[in-house]
Amino acid sequence: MTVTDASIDSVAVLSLDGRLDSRTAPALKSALEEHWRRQRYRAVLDCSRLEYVSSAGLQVLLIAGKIAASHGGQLAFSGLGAFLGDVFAMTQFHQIFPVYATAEEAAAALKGE
Amino acid sequence: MTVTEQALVLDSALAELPRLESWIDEFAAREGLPDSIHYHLNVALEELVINAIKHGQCQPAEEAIRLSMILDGGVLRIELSDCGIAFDPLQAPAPDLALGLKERPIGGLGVHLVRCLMDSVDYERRDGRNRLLLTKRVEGGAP
Repeated sequence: MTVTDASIDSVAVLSLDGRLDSRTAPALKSALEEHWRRQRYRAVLDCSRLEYVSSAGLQVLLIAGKIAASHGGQLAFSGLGAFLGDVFAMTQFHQIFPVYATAEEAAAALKGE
Repeated sequence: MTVTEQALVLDSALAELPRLESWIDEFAAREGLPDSIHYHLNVALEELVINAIKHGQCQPAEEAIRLSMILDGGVLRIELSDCGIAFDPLQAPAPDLALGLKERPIGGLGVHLVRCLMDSVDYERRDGRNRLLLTKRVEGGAP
């Protein structure tokens, strides 16, 4: 998995490309930690090029969401495909994370908070 | 119609996961499984194999985990066994999905997903091995 770090209107947007599983989850964690070190706790995870998420990947998303929330921030998601949408529904992740169609919409929503 | 069983033997080591992945890819390609089923198989089997590796304390670790998979009459039947300590993952309590972000426990999602992704999951302890039998309907069924 590659994590591409960008920002839209000062909101961090991390684009995930490939597989998010137990082997690749540390790459996402360190990309997020880079932002947390700079006190940026609002981030969009764009999943439009994410092919696969295992339960270990979901666990990392949950932990990251908790850390962001405990600092007054938030994680939002965009570009969920059919598979990831299924998994979000099965785990009710869409009840605990805001989900948007595009990274731009997600960034605008986070910026407005 | 020919029905072919595919089998795999893994050491109890996380380094084996790529072999599991390619085994599933191979089976999915050969049987022409829809992408959604292929994806569900990956998530469910990766979860169960990681559990066996991390918590099973398999001795010896070599060739500790065995898998077989067959597509028969539109139903996938998968058997996964390991020589680890007796453990029935189905006994784990279901996570409370109504909880908010801050209250959500970190664990328990994996087995919950396996139950959601498969049509049936059964456990038995036999001949010193944990055996999980999974089924998944491939034709005409909703995921």
